[in-house]
Amino acid sequence: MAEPPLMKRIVQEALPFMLVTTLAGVTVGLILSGMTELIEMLPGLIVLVPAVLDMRGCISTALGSRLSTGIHLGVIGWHLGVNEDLRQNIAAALILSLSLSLVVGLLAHFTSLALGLPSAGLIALTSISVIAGALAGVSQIGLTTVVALYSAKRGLDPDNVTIPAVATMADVLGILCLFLAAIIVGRLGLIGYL
Amino acid sequence: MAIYNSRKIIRESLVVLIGVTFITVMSGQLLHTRVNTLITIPVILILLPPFIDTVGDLASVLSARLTTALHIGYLEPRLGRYRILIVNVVAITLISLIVFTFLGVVSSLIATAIGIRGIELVTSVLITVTAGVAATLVMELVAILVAFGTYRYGWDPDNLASPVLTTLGDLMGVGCLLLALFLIGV
Repeated sequence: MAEPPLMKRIVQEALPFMLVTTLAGVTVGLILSGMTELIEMLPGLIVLVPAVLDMRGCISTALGSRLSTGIHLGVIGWHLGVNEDLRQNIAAALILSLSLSLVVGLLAHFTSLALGLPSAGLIALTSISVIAGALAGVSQIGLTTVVALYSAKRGLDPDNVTIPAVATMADVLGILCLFLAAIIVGRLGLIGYL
Repeated sequence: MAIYNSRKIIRESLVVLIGVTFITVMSGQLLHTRVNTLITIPVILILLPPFIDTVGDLASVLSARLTTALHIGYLEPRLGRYRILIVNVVAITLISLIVFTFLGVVSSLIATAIGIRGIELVTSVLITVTAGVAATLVMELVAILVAFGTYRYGWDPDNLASPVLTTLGDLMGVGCLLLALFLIGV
């Protein structure tokens, strides 16, 4: 039996990666800190932030793992193009993104009311959540798919190399899409309905 | 004949994802209660995403390592065979200490550099380290439970561990961060 990993090895393996993702996270935070005016103008917008950031972990990463498995099984690949297996995976991720964004928007409004906290309104929060979910969903799913297939084509294992990198980029995309959706809804004057 | 079916994928992920959605909205509501602090001291918004991410990531790393150790047989779910468990927990705690110190320093420096209202360097590090290590310690316990639980009942940790740990990590991270801000009086 091989010698079990020692503490020093665990720290050496995990620490550099954690420091890099922390820096990437600070980029997300910088974008978020530019949203203070919108957060003030649209009460409840802050509730959507953890949801938007967490959604990628649950949908894009799951898609990435499935694509990786599909690639290893030989049913999905760059050379196979957009075949039925790839289409089914992308469709599932898109439908989940959109329907969960709707749930997040509804929940954000009604839990705000239940807790006696202000809300920009059912229409505003739901449309921000759904617009952000659609934009982030399409861009993150596209990115995950292209990177997974292309890295496999270049002989890299998507499980090890690309999916963690994509997860970090997806966070930046997610917060940008939320920012954009909030600006759109603010400009359209959808605040305060219902 | 395709082996993947979108209906099947959606059916299998929906229950976990709806649970996850509820918990992340609750994390958001915790932020909502302190939104004035976040707006007046925007440096907290800078450190928030990496802070909650790190808490969940460390828990996921620990759980993945323990799951592998259990399956390989380095670790056994009975008394007296816990050396590997302790080594892993201490290593993750050590990493959290370093990463949260780094985060406190970086976010304070960035706030100064871009000229937004920040928190003094020492206070900033005190907040990220106390809140981060506290959240990590709680999440280590959850990660151990997830690793041993999925092993004991034969569930696939790949499907369950990551969403559960990152989501609870967000909630615990937001909670500990706001608590630390409150206690330190920011």
